[in-house]
Amino acid sequence: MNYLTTNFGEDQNLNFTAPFPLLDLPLEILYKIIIFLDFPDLINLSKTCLYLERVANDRFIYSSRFYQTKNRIGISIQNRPSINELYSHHIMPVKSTAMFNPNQLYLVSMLTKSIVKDNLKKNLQKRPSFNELKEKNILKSNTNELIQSKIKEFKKQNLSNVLSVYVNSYKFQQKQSTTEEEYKSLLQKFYSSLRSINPTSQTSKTTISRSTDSSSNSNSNPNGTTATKFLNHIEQKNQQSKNRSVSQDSKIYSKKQYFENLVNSSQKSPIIERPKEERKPSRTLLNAKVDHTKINYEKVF
Amino acid sequence: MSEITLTSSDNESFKVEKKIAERSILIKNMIGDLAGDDDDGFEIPIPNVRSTVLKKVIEWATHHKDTSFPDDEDEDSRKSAPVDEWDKEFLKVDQEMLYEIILAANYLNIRPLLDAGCKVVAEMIRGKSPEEIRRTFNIVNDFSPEEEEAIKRENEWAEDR
Repeated sequence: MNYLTTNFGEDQNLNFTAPFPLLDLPLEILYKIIIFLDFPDLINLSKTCLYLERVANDRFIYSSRFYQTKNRIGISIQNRPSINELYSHHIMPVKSTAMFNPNQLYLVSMLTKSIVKDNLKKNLQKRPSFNELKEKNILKSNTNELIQSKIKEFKKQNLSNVLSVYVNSYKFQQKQSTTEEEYKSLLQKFYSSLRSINPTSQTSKTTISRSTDSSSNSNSNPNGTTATKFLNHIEQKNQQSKNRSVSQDSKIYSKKQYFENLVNSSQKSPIIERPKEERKPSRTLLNAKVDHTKINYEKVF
Repeated sequence: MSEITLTSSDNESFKVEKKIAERSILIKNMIGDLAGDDDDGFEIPIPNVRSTVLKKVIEWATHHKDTSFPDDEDEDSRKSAPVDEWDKEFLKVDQEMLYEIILAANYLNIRPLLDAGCKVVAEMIRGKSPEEIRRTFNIVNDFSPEEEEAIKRENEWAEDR
């Protein structure tokens, strides 16, 4: 009878009394047997009957299988051949990795760089939006103003950088005999950029119109530190340039007059002199403002 | 050379060398626990094992008295090692005997013999369809058709091989 046979061919010659009582084995031993089986056999075994199905699908079997595989992989990794061995068997084209083509190395570095770039991009896309942060109460809504002021600060700094570039270019142009018009246009550029920073304040607008009228003599705008810096620059330039030394006295005079006018006008109409930060000036604040302009005035001269 | 007497369940006694008897961890521990200076004439009853099976086990232990088996801790090499040729021949016995040898090896705590027996049984299962396995071990299919269908679906992913 076929069902009495086992895997051993010669076994058929032996007289078997009964098939192997697999189901009578203690569970402990059944586990030991099942652990020796490969996966397809395990599945086939689980299809035979309910009891074996339960045993074969036990968690214990799978966890022990997992550990066994882990160990086996660990051992195989240790057993893998060295580079020298691979080279001697003509599997590897070169003996050491350092001998790879520089182009290849460049390619590899480019690839890794692009991978890093990709990862960063993905992470950036993942970051929460401003509104989300607000919803989760991480960012408070009033921090918006803080950010705005910071942005303004940065813009100012950026402008001062731009101005220094302008001044440098002006210096360069002066060597090649600058004309008055060029200088004017330079100033105009400066004020237009200044306008872009604080378009709300009327002060700058009025001073711009005045400054364009009185060309180089225009200073003022006491709240813009970059402007005063720039003016100081111009002052030095003016003193350096001998061409304009003749008209300097009159210029200084006109400056003085201008500032006096400014102080007077500020007393009359406070809107012009009011810096943008203070929307509702009290009487005392206004006085302080006037003092401030005076101080500034003294500084410039 | 001190000798130890092993008595089977049907009261048959076997005189064996201590070294051979100590292939069984159970007996080894027992000797270690009980023996004084005079460990001659030690008699250990083995009530779970029939004399024919005990004879076989002693035969195995005598053949392997000088074999060094892989460490018990070294699970992997134990599992991947094929069954020793001699063991294979030795275990070509009728199924009832194989079953009893496995149980005896388990009881006496003889790991190499137990492993060999389990591997032989695993070999019987290997490469067979569920129906063939049922026939080999005389297993009755007690699945309902629905359960059978469910198991088939569950293992579909492993079918294509």
